Amino acid sequence: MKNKILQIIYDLRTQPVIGWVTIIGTALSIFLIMIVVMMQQISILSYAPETKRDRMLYGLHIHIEGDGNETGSSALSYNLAKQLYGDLDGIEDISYNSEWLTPTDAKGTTGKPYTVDLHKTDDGFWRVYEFNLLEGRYYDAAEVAAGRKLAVITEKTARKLFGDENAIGQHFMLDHNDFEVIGIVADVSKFATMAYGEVFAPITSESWSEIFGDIGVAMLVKPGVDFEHIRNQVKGRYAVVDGELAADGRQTVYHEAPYDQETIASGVGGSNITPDPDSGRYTRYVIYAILLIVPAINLSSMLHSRLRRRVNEIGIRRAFGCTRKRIIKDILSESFIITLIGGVIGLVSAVIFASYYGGLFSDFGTASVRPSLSMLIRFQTFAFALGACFILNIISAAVPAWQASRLNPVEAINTK
Amino acid sequence: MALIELNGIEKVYRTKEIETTALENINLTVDKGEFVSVMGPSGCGKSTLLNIIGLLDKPTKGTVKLLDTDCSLLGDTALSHFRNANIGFVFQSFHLIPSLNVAANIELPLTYRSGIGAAERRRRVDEVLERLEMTHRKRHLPSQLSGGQCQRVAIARAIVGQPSIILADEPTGNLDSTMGAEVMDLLHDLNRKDGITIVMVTHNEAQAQQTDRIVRFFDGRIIS
Repeated sequence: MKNKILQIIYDLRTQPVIGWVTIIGTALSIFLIMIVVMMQQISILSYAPETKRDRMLYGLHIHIEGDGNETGSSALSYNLAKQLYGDLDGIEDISYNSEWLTPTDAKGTTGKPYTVDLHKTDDGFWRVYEFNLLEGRYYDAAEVAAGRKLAVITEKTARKLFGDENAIGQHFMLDHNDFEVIGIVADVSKFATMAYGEVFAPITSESWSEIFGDIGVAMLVKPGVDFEHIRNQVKGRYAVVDGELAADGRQTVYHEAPYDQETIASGVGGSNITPDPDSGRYTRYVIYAILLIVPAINLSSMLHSRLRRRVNEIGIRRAFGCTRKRIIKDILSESFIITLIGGVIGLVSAVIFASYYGGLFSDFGTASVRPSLSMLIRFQTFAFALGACFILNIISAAVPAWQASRLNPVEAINTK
Repeated sequence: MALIELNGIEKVYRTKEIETTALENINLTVDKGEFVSVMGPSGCGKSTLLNIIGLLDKPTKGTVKLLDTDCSLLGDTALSHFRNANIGFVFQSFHLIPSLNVAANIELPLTYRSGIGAAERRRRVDEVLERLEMTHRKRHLPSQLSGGQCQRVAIARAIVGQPSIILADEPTGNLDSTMGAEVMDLLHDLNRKDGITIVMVTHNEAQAQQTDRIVRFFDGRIIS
């Protein structure tokens, strides 16, 4: 190992351009890959308040075909949401909450108008997600059923509406209605797309039609329960709804609901199409492959140049008993060390870049949305970066290493 | 007892246009502990012979037997292990690895040998360095050494694995006469005290005369 590091230092000293271009090229490649990985990670891995993403299923839309009224596709009415997703076997907890956030005007004691992202929820919302309650309490089932004008707000919203005053018990205007603050939670990242909001208030069961409304369903599946078990039950419920709609010449179109986190992350696409997480996955794999293969070809030619300067040395090593396998192993491991150096630079750059330009990671398109370091730096991040380095190294170094191992020792020794 | 036996060795280099015979019907036996010089004009096949004895090159025809092993039958990996265990090379241009310091250069053959731990490798390197009076240069890079010192390091590298055979290709060719004499003394010392069999290619008649036997080459053939 020591000799390999000495060799790398020597290479960098004697062939600085090739050496540094190799390291920077590797760093750039790992940087790009890690940006893609982190984008994916942020949308898939769990973090507060969406701490159980691996067990979450979401029922979002309904698509109705046929003649007559109420055909088309949209979010669910409260009643239909309950009919399709209520009391399913294998569900630990469920929340009916507004599928869309509503930008709503709010005014607190500071007197300054402030537009907040309003997320209407039921009491189950506080159980399927894990918010960090800083002060006060959440609203309960009775308060939701009674349609009480209560609100849980984020820390930042509390400051905007009430300045330095204690917000608990304070009243504020929300879309011209008087609401009382009963709880304050830690700010929620916009990356937590399903749980995000600035003000949370009890949802009402009123909907603008029997079928369509603004409800989305978030379900926490019991540990060990297969998602297909849930989907099969939901499919059965769709059949029941179809029976009710048949008299009007209408029917539902089932789009594989409810959706897991990966499907949500790939983009559900629309209420009248079946999401295809596989296509998103394949696209990702293609991106990874391009991001690995293109730089690998360049790195391979760099390594080839570096090895050309070491032909004589390879011949000497062969003379003193180094086997072909060992030549390959030594070149791959030397190259892996360089790839790792580049990989660390690339990973650190990616984390710094991602924490400052988080807007690139979301649909929100605002640079002000920044993922926290805890979202970006995970065990999976390091594992993926290490894996990417390893693959990059194999792709870029395998051919030059193999060629070096096939050198004729006599010709190699006599190479100046 | 014969340590090196070459029987009917022929080496032909073929290209699309031309066929060159480098060695023709070479039969040579070198006994254990012998110090043999190989002499002849440039291009007569001396180095090719040394490469074939050193198992770096394969003959077109004939058999190479070293230490009673028919090396013609060995595959590439077995040849590497055989070289590592039994043969040490000393080259005219030293061929030290520029990125490694003196100790690491000398240690090189041992790193390819299984069953020798780092501590044992270090012990052997120190022993050889002391014998060749190069301990004070242990941490120097080859670029910081004189030609004579480089060749001493090269010899140290050749003997650290305790080989039975040393193949030296014009070991004093790049050295002045004083340094050359020192290197020759060293080789004689290894031959006499350690019983290492040495085959040395040289253009220097005086140095050849100091060895046990001179094999003279001309146009790929042994003439005496």
